This record gives sequence, C-alpha cells and structure tokens, in this order.
Amino acid sequence: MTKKTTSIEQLEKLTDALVEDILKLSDKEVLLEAKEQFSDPSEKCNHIRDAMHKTILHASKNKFSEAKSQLHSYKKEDKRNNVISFSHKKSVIENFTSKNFNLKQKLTLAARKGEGIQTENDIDGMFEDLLELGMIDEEGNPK
Amino acid sequence: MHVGFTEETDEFLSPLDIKSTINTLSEADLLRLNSIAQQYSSYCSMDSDEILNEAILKALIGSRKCPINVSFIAFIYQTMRSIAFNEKRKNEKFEPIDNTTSPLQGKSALPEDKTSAHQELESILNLFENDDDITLYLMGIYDGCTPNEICELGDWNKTKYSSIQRKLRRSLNKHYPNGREK
Repeated sequence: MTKKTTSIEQLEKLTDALVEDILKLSDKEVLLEAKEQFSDPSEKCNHIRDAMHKTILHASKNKFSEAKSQLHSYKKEDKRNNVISFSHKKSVIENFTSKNFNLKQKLTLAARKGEGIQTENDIDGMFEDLLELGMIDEEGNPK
Repeated sequence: MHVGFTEETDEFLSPLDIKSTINTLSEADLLRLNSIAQQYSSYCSMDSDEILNEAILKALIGSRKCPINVSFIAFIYQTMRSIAFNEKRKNEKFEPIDNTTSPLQGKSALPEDKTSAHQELESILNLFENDDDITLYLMGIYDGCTPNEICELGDWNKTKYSSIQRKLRRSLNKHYPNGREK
C-alpha cells in the first residue's frame, strides 16, 4: 500500500485532506468556526472583500499600463512602417533646390568644399528642417 | 468603482465576470475561502491574505482562467493550492524521492531527515502520539492511502472518518495558530 512519496508530497496530501474537510463544512458550520476565531466575523468579511477590491484595482491598473505600453509600441511600429525612403527624401530635396536658384548655388558650392548635403544624415536633417518649416507634409509633398 | 476590463470569452470567466462574482460572494463563501487560505498559509511561508489575493490576481490577469462551468470557490481554492505548493517546493531545497523510509519508520540518517518537510511530518505525528485514531489517519495519509483505504484500515465508516479529519484540522489550527511554517 505504501507508495513512492517524498516528505513534501506527504505534506501536500495532508494539506489536501485538511482543505477537503473545510470544503465539506456547511455554510452554518463555516460561520460557527469563524465566530470561534474572530470576535466579529462580519468585520473579517469586510476586510477580505476590501483586500479583493484592492486586488481588482491593482489588476486594472496593470491592465491599463499594459494597454498604454501596447499602444505606444503600436504607434512606434506604425511610425517605423511609414518611414519615407531615403531616395524619396532625396528627390523631395532635389525638387526644392532645383526650384530655388540661390539655394542650388549655395549647395553646389558647399558640395565642392566637401560640405552641405553629403550623407544620409544630411538628407534626413534637411528633410526634417523642411517639415518643421512647414514647407512639406510628412510624406514630402510640397505645401 | 469602474474597472476598464472588456475581455470576454465563452469558455472562461472574464475579469468583469470575476469582479461581479466577488461582489456576490456570501459571508460564508468569504470565510470559507479565508479558512482554506489559512490552511495553505500554514503549509507555506505566505500569509493567508497574500495567497487569496494572489489567486484572485491570477484569475483577473488571466494567468489562471476560471472555466464558466467550474464554481468560483473551487477555482480559487485550486489556484491557492497551486500557489502554496509551488511556494513550499521552491523553499524546500533538497528532497530526494525515497520509499525506503517514512516518518513512521523511526529515525534514519538519510539526507531526507534534514528537510524541514520531514521534520514537520514528524512533529505532527508526535503531537498526536496519544491519539490512536489520528495517528492511524496520519499514517494512511502519509502512505498515500485513499479515504476508503483509511476507513478500511481503521474499520471506520465515513462519519467516523470525517470526524477524525475534522478533529485533526481543528487541533492543528489550535496548536499552530500562526501556521506551521512560522
């Protein structure tokens, strides 16, 4: 009859048996036992219910911040998906410079000196400037 | 209090269902859950409030889902069981499986003797050494016997079995008012 069990498993079996006894109690017996244990069982119930409500509040706060962080990630992802290609940015800038003789001359001069719009970062920077100045929209269309 | 839960499924209670179920729990339900939480608290190092609310939290965040056809009390007690048993096992560092000894077979020099679980089993047995019924009941439980097998061992009927079980629980509660782990 002896089964292969560890001390922990034996204690688990004992705990299960003791809980099984509590489950077998009638509501009346539960209330009677509570009266023996607590001076005011109703006050104890209020305490248990309050603690449960605090847990609900805690869970809803967690859920809210989780939703907030998901929204943040979604927006970030969405922004990443809408990134304008480097070549498009370049063509938007070229379109601007070709229409403005002074600007074109300045840029040509700067390029000869090894300055001006040379790298991808320069293109990005100038695109951002045009955007901030309100000369183009987020897709690079002239306003 | 407004709670921003909107999830709903057909098979499991949604957080909103859980919230409204909690609001409908009677005093007897709450005290029964508290009593069960105290029993699990006796077993592990967690407080009864902590175990109960951890179980509620798991249900709310969905890490344990309550099927709609299962009573909420049963679901919460099973969740508390899992929390307490995991906590105990986490704290019990070394526990080899060994069927050559049991706390009922006297002292041995095996490493198992060093575990707090083994000492706990022995303390409980020693506590009831003058009560033959409870000792037999404990021997049956420690040996993994079913209630029917224990009844056969003691030549008891179901009523006698239940009264011994109750006497044991109430005596343990009185002897360890702050839990066996504390």
